[in-house]
Amino acid sequence: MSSFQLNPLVIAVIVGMSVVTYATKAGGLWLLSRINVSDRVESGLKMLPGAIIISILGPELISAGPAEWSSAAVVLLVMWRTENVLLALLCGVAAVLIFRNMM
Amino acid sequence: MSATVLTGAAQLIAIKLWETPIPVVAVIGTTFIVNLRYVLMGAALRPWFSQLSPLKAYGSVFFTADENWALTMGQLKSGSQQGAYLLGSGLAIWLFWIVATVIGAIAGDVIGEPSQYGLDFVLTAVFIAIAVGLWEGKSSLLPWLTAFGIATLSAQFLPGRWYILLGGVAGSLVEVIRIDE
Repeated sequence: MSSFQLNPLVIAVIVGMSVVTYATKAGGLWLLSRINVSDRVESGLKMLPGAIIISILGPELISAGPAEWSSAAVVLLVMWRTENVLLALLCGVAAVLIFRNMM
Repeated sequence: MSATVLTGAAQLIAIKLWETPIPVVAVIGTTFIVNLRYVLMGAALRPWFSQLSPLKAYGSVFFTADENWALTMGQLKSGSQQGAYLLGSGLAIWLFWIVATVIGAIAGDVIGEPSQYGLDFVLTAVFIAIAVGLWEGKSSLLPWLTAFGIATLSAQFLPGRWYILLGGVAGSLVEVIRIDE
């Protein structure tokens, strides 16, 4: 555990992690405020959020099992019907608990 | 670490790499690569954040995390002009992240497996719900399928989180190429 205790090196590493993380968070915004963006690129950017979310979800769901797939369907249905993120979330977690115990 | 870095996955990976002596380059380098996806997420925020002052915009992006970024995009896409959503939701995440880290450090062994409470599914559920909100009908289909295919494939063959970058870029490229038609 000694390497987790605060010493100058540990602090330096954490500062280093903070700097590179902030660089990535601000980098995209900074880059695009420096260059002119065509309509074409703009429409690509508008498509980015959905594409990123699907990219996060895809492998996650593929590697999951029937319990998670069924629960994903529950979330999808509740969200589609109610447009309430919190409700969909709660139903999804409840569903995954139930399905995991059943399957 | 939780207070100043504020990045879920990269922190977890850094802890895995952590040993004595600390592999400094590996820890910081991995943090950077795992977080490259934030460059894309920041880019996606630009159409709305261009109206904010630099101080507001660059202050807000510190609080970017996967979850509240997705929630913010959902809000902005549905017509809300409140870029501050990222800041507000990010502050909430930041506070909970620190509190939870402290609790985790104290209670660690007592809690056991998060999956026994279904908590491991929370992130997936949030993203599914957000995706529903971002769906724009048929025009979303091709970019999303592309993103899904590329991300799933590259997750098989590439380490870390490159698949998020590749899938996101691929999906958005489809839109860039197609816009002429």
